Amino acid sequence: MTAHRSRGSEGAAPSADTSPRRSRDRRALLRGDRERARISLSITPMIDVVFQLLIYFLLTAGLVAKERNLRAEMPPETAEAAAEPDPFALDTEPLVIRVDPSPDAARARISLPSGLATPRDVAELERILRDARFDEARAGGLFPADHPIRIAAAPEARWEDVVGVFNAVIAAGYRSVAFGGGS
Amino acid sequence: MPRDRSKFPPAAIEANLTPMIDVTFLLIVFFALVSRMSDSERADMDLASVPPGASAQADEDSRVILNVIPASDGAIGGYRMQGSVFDATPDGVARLAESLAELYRRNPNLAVNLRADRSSMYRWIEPAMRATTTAAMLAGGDALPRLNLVVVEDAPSTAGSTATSTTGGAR
Repeated sequence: MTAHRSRGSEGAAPSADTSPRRSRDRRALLRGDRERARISLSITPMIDVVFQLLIYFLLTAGLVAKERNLRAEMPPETAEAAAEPDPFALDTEPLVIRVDPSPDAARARISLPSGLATPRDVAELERILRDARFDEARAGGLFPADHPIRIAAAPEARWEDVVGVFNAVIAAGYRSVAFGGGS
Repeated sequence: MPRDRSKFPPAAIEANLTPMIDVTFLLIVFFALVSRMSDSERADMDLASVPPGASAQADEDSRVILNVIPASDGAIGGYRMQGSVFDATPDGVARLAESLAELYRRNPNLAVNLRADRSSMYRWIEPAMRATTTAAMLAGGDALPRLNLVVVEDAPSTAGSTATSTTGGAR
């Protein structure tokens, strides 16, 4: 290319060369380039879109909080059972845990029956209830694991406090938990 | 001996993008499969957070999601289940129980996943819990109401347990 140009430019100004031979060569060169040209697909926009999708999934996948369940099996409330209670069933006095909203504090006020310490939060409630649970492996304990426990939440109590108490009772090893009687 | 450059035309340097595109598409397919897309069944709310230990991994089989739609100051805007909204009134709760009963008739082993905002007052959530037992009674048969209180944990845990629960007054 360089040699071709230098030969053609001998003795004349480079920009003024308009001879017929030079035009033919240029057309041939252009024709040759066109034959060698490859058909290519521009994939840059596709890569852009693909990376946008990738970044979207990367960002959204980790932000969804994993939900978990506190399982509870509700007793079947049949009409016969409600109308005609079992006369031979022993009525066990449930352990009542009161949950009341505290106006001056963010956390609710949790109250246990007399004889048990007053917990400051749900973590302490779980410890107290675990210590009070009867266990054959260790000495002490007042209540068996199937002792009925009733969570008496005030109507104004926050749901997180009520669920926190339920979670603490289950974590302490009790299996029979009731809601109600808080109003 | 110097090399004759005319015999060696300059090589065209090209990056082969095909493997990169393959890997990128594989990553997209992977994330599309494993990530949970925004679920229209789940209302947007701030779930209660509990310490790990007692909650179990959410089971997606045979369950219906009952949302207690939060409003300001602990109030609620109603109950939402399968796209239907029920008012926070005695009539709305009765209609909710009837809808639940219809679901219990079709599937007696149905579990109700109760989702409520952490700041909602208990007074609005207790009727939804009671509606599950009422629905089981309306459905008849041997339907055992299973209620799952949906929470989030501070740290992942695989432990879980099941409790027998009742709503209402003291037994």
